[in-house]
Amino acid sequence: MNLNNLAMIEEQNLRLREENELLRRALSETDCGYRLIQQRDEFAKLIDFGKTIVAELNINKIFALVAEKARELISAELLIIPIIDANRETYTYLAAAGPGSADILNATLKIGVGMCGWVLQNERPLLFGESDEWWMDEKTRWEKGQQSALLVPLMGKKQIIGGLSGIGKVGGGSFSVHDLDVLTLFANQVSAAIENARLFQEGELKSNALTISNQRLQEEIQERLQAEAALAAERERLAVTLRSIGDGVIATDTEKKIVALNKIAEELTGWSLHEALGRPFEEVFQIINEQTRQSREHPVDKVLTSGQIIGLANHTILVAKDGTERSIADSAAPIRDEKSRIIGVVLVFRDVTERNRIEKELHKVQKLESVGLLAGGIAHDFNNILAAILGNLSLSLLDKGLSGRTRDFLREAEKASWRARDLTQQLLTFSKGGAPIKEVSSLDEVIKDSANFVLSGKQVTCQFSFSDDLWLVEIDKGQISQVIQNIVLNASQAIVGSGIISIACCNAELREESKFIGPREGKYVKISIRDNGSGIPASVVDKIFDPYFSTRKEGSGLGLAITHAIIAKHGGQIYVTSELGVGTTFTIYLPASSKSETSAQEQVALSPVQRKTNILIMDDDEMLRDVAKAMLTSLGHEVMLAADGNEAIEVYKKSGNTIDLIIMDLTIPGGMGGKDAVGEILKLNPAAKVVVSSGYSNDPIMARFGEYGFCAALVKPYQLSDFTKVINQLIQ
Amino acid sequence: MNADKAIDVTGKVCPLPLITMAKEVRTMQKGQVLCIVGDDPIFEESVIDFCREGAHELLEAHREGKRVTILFQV
Repeated sequence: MNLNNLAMIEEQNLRLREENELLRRALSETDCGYRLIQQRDEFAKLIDFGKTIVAELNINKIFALVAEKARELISAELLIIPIIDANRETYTYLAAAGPGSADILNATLKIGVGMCGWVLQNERPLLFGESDEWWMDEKTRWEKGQQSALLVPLMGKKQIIGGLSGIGKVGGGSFSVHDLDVLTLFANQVSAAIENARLFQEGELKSNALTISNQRLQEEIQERLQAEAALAAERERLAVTLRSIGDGVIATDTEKKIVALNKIAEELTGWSLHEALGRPFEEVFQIINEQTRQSREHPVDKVLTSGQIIGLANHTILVAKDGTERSIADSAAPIRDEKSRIIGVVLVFRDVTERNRIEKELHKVQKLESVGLLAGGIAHDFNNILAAILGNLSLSLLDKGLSGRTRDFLREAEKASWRARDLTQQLLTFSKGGAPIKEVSSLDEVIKDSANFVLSGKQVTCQFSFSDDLWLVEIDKGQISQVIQNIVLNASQAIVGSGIISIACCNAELREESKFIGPREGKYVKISIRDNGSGIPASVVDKIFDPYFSTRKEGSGLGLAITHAIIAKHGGQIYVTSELGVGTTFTIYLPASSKSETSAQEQVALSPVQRKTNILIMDDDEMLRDVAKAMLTSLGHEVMLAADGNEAIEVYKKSGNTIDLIIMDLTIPGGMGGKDAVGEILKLNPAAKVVVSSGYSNDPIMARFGEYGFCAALVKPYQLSDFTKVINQLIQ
Repeated sequence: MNADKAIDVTGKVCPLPLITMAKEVRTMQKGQVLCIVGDDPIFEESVIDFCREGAHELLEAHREGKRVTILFQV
């Protein structure tokens, strides 16, 4: 193609465009042509508006756009959009474009009321104007000067959703049927968009509501979790509190089923919480009367019946699951809810077995104290009588004219009297206790006499095995005798029928490296007392020296406790080994004395008087004074007598310091005893030699006489050798 | 009958007369009387419906050509 051709085509196109424009102008100048062009423009607008509106999803923006575009399409002064509410009984103006819009927006009217109401109810368009489209009578026909109105329904897929209403044609005049057609077309075009947008909005609202609901649910879950955590913490606190309570606690519901049980309750009942939960209360908490052994009425029943706090009756025994019985004290109270209704019972109880035992022991001790007081009084008098008997026996034995047989009889009488003295000493020890008055002695005779004394008349025999060179010990013979008697008595009671008790005594020199856990290194005399009785159970063997511990109902529980105390006061040790069904062995270690047997014997041996001694005897017992005088006179001494401390002081004053030795009774009922008188005597003569005399060998003054101003102690009842020993020691 | 208030919505077409009237009623005391004049083709019917819905006592209604005058007690 050449340039000429191109120029021709261009020229041709230009000409065609000019012709086209001329034709368009010509067309527009005719009515038909004008209307065609107007319609073409209106369709273009409709398509353009439709695209704009359909592209929008926000319902409020869509309403605003529809109102604005519809107003433009039909040249209305005011365009309003009534939308039927969800209840389908009212409608609300949700959009408006034009002057006065604000007054109309959001106004709500009933369907059927007003022009819009008529359109919405009848689903038909309405034109109030110059056309024939109005249905009313002549009076209501539109006239020039009146506002014209045009209303068309907005139809959804299934039903009418609202309408479009133009009010007042711009420039006055009336809306036309054409306006009606255009607005109807536009309404059809946008109704789907409005419905979709409303559905979208509803969906969005539902989604938002769902989100909010989810949020609330999450918050509720969170709150519930927190509440559960708080509840769990509260339960834990409660459980810890319950566990920490020193008493047993059981809670039940109104059906008497167990709902809570603390640790102490678990221990006392023998039921674990896991086992007990949900079980009937009576099954877990079995109580009986201590004396009748019959079942007790349950406190839970009483509480549920009375609604009151109930205390448990005395002497109630709780029988644990394994049969263990415990004395208990408890109280039960109703558990009430906030409306004061009883929802269960809480029972608090404690083991009072030990408390009851202590109370019983205390009662026993008080009883023993009373008995001891009585025994002490009797023993004191009895001791004085024995002193007189022994004194007279001693004097009788001095008679060289006695036949051998009579002498034997007297010696037996004397021996029996000594045994009686031992008995009174035990009574006095029992009644007062106290430090031993030690003297150097051999153990064999004490042990043999004590054991034989206990076993006299029993089927149990005693086998003795003593080393020949047994060391001497410093002992209170009465107390050691009591030790032997207690152990041998226990041993004999452990033997059913006939049996043997073996008592061995030997020297024991313990060295530092000795594996023996017991006394420190040194020289001891070891006493072993073994029986072939039933033996002591391992569970109680550690308790046998505890005060008031006894396996026998009639036992005081003091025998072995006193035994232990006596050995300890002698600086010794006592041990026990036992095997059930084989027997028991008590082993005693007593420190050996450094003094020799010879010197001890020298002390006790009667020796002739080397010089006449003036002796003042003070004792409230006339019989004793007389026998003492007879004994001392028989030894060649001069004796003066006084009945109490005051008299003794008077006698001493009058004597003008000629009295060499004063022997004074420790206590004088109703008068001045030796304890007070010695001070007065020493004031008169600090060098005076005063000896204290008493039947209470365990009295601390007797053990530590030097601290009170005495030179020596003389235990009643005394014999000639006792006097001789003291006189030799202090005077000669 | 004297009215406490009177409004003229002549020339205005539904729903403007109704909305104007409702707005006015909200400013009045109970027992007061409102007089309203209009020529909307559905004016009379709409005001009667409004009174029934709001429990207002319709006192008087008369028409002169297209003009309708209604009195009611708020």
